[in-house]
Amino acid sequence: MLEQVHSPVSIGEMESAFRAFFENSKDTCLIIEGEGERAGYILLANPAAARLHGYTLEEFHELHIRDLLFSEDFDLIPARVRKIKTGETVFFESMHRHKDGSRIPIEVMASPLPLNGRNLIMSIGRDLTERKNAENFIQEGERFIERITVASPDIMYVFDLAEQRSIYANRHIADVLGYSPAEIRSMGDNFPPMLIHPEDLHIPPYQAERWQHTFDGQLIESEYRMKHKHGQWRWFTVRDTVFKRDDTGRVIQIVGTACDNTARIHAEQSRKQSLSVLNAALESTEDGILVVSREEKVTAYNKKFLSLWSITPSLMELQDDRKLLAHVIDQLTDPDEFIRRVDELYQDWGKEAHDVLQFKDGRVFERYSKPQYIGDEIAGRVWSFRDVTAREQKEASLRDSEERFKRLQEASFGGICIHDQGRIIDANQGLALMTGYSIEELVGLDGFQLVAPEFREHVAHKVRLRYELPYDAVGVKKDGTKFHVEIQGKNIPFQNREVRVTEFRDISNRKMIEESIREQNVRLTSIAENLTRKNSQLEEFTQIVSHNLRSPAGNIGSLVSLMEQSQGEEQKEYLKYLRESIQVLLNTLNHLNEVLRIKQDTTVERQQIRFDDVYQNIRQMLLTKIQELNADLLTDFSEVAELNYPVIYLESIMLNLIANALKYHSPRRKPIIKLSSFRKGKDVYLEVRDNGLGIDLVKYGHQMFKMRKTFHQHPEGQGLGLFLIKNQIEAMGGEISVESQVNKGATFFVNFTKYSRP
Amino acid sequence: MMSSSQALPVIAVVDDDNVYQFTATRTIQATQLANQILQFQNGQEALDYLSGHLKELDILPDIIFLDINMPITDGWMFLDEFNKLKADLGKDILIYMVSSSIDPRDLNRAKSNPIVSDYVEKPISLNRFAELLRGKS
Repeated sequence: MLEQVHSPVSIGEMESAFRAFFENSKDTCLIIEGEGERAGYILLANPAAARLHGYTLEEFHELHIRDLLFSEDFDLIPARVRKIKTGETVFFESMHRHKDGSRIPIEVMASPLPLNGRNLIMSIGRDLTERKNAENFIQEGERFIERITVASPDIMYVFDLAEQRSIYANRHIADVLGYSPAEIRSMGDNFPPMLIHPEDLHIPPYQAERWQHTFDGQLIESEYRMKHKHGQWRWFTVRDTVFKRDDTGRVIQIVGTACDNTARIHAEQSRKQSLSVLNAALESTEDGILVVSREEKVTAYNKKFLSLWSITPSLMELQDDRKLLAHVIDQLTDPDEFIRRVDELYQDWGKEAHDVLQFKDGRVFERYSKPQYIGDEIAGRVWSFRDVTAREQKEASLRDSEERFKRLQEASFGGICIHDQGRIIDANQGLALMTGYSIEELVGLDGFQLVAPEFREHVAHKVRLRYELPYDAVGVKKDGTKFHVEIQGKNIPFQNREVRVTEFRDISNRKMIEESIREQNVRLTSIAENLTRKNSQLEEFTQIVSHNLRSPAGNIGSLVSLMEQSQGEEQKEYLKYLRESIQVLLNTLNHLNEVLRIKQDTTVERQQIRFDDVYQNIRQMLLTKIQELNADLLTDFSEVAELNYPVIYLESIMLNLIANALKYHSPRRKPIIKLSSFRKGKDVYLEVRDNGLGIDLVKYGHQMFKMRKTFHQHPEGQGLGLFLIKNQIEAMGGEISVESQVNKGATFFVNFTKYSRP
Repeated sequence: MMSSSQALPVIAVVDDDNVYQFTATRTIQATQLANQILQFQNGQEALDYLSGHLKELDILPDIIFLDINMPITDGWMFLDEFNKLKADLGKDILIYMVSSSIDPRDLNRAKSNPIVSDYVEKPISLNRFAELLRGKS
């Protein structure tokens, strides 16, 4: 430019051009004194310089170049001046000082200006403020980006689609993945397969075709896993966008940010997991569930809810609880109450409720309603419905069976109570009647109070054993009277515990019957004994018939056949025997008649008779014989004076026994006969004791009282008396027995009442 | 009471029935099969006689007709006592139990006693006596 100034144009022209340039240039132009004592003073400044530095042109004339500089740059001046003095033009940037002290970046070209022998310096300056601002801006932008790349937790990278490698990555890749940016870069083509999860390799948009139709600024978002240097997989949300296109507009590089979302995705997954658990739980429950927000919008429900209430999914899509209510209400027997209750609960969101819904079709639901809390806030209300129709029916049938049981036990004649370890829970009328307590008194009473104290441990033991068979005990009524009772208990489950149902049966009657059976048995035994006796009497009778009647009959037969073969005197002898035999036969028949009469005449009249009266009669009858023998008869009827007996029998007994005693007296001593009556146990006895010959009982005991038995070679022994009185005594239910020792005497005992105790 | 013929047996009738004693004796005599007939009113008398003439073969009975039902000592008691005497007796004596009884217990009891040769029911005919007496001779 200065060369052009030195071009061959006239000075005038030069001067004029220079002046125009000088006056109009946007660059500052200063003419400075180059030497002498005024070196450095500004000789001339153009308007641009005046504007830039804030001085007027006049003021410039007084300024030294140092006035336009900051003191720190003063040291630079001599070197530049020296260079200029050698003829060089110097370029430098400097910071000039505005009149107000502000800094003005400026680009300076200073060159020597020899003029009229003087060495001047011309300094042309260009304001660099804008350029400096732009430069600053760019610098700051870079710094901004750098700061962002530092400050952002995200990985930032530039990926070259053609080279298929990352050409840039910020330092976070080191923090997040454990690799330095250099390491990432060095991975080159291996970057995706080395870092991205094999299953996710298809996800990042690293293929050029993915970008064909994208515009600048369009984002492609993807999520995939990358491997940390230490081995764990981390989830990244990645956003890529166009970074650079080639001349044809094809995208060749993309820039992306990758945000580590491992924590969020894990949280998401776990949220999904718990949501699915929640859903599964919601669907697996037997309850129908509906969750309604405070705005009465449906926020959740399960399928069971739909099926219980016959609601279509399309109705649910409306999410409006009021519409649901309208749909279901007609199914209920009492819709108004239902709505009233719902409204009440929607007024008071904190309230919990439990009620039962009756359906027209017979179903029964249980309804629970609880507030739904989020933290401490009530977010809505959870309704849960359960179809309890079957349970209700079961309970109803249980109630029925309880009722039946109740009626049954009321109807039972036995006394029934249900007790829990003795404590009476319930009792029937039968037990009240049996024990004299009212049912109200019985309930709550210790059941052992109904058992006689001496049986309580016995009964308690049975209860402990859960004994189920009947057993006897003694019960106590309210008034303290005791009664025989049969107890039978059984443990049953009742209202979730085990209780015992116990039945009391009053067996006083049974006990009485048992007693009467025992008496009957005694009687039967006695009857059997009687029959045995009768049987032996019958046997005896048969023998009498067979022997005592056959003998004379046989004799008669023999005599008749002998008579047929004889004559005269011989026949007369036979006749004498014949007559004798016939007499024997007749006598025997008469005795038998007498015995039969005794045996048959069981109704022979009894009367109250005194032993002594009878004795006195007999004594008179036998007086001759007594006196003949000089016998002593002693009596003692003091213990039992009287007897209810047939007089003729007692006379017969006494007569025969005394006569016997007299008959078989011992010729060696004075006969003494003692008679006494006494009572032994329940029986009345007559004893007749003599001191006579006695009887060898070993030899003759079995024949003592048989017909026609005489045991003495004695003329008067006919063997009939004892047989007769034996029959008389036995016919009246008594017994006769004998004790004797040969040559010492005999004692007969008559037990009048053995088989006929009053 | 001496025997007229050694061949004919001595007979004893033990019975308390006078009529029977008479008819039996006459009937036995009619058979002409008896040497001598001894009569006893009961068992005791018969036993007394036997024990008094243990070795006197002439007058010891060969056959005894023994009644069951008698006073003092009946047929059964006689058998018991006779059993004790038996070894001392000079001869074997046949005993026929005789009774009007048709009680089967009497019959069995008699037949089960080894001393008793037979049980004979009263009345006994001439022919029956003859059979019994011949059985011995």
